[in-house]
Amino acid sequence: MGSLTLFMHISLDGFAAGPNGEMNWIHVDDEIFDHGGERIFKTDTALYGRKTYQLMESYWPTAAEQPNPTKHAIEHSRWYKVAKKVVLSRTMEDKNLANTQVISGNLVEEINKLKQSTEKEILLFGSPSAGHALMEADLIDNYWFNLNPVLVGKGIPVFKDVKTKANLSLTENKVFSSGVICLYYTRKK
Amino acid sequence: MKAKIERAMRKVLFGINITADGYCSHTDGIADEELHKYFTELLRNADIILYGRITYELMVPYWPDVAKNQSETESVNEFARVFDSLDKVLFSTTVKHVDDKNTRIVHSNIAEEVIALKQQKGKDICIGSLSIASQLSERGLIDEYHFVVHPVIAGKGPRLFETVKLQERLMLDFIGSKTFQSGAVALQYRKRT
Repeated sequence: MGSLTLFMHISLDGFAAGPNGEMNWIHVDDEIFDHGGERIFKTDTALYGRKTYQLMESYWPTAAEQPNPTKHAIEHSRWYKVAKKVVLSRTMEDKNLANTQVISGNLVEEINKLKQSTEKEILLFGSPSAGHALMEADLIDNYWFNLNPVLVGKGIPVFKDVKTKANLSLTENKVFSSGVICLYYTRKK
Repeated sequence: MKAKIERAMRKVLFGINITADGYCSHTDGIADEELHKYFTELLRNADIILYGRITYELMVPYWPDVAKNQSETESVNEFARVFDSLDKVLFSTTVKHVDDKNTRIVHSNIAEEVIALKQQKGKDICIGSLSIASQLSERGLIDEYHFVVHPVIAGKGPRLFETVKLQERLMLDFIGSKTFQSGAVALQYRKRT
């Protein structure tokens, strides 16, 4: 059975984005992309909220075809196109998109089915609203943060609507040269 | 040793335990020996610690009593002794008197008091309360932040910097980290200048 991982760039004060979705404080570079790729390319299932999915869909399918694509653009574009994409949305229609499934209700049942359909890690990329719904339903197994050295002050929190306390194991802890810290936690069973 | 202290700039330092989801409840962290030792070392480099009323009352007289009675494990007793030896400033408009001999009650503006303390010679100035850390962060008066992130999703409690009103984002520079056996990670940052 697979497990569900929330993968998020996060500020020291726990925000995923500023009040208007600002994410320009998030630091990424080749070191961070390469490190992320090691985990991402081992799996083949991506989960998104609708907004993040639309953002991804508008960029990744053709990212490698832009002039002078970076190594990250080429690699992630290749991965994105073959990955199974699962979108949480109450409004989006399932229009027979290739490799794409829309979950619009029965969250617990559908996510558990998804976990049973794979042995790998299901990665929720960003998508704070979807994250809140999954937290509320207690469906997240692992947390993968790139912790940015900034206090944002206000904005969209990563954590919301958590109902029960959970103890975690820290299974990875890496300091990047930029001062961003990777923390990977697994829920204790 | 004395010369070394005088040479070093006196820092304002905020050290706090938080859970992975950003809460600061005193009961949700993993208070083991390594954690006590970490905070003991932090306090050893300080000679004064600043509190608001609520956190002060959680700490005093609890820790001075432990220091006096030596009633806990060695690492906890040691923390209590170091804590008890520090001067404390209690910012409160309502408290008129406390029994602790090392505590001074201050009614005036927190930022002005900290600016005045920084002019004086001494060891580090530690911040003990979330509310004071928020106010001083707004004024850019904290030089170093030590976040000890515990491997726990708490789901509730006082949130780190919940009341802060920053004029703009506060960028920090990472200076170091220490990983504990428990999976807690101490992350140390300096205010970017």
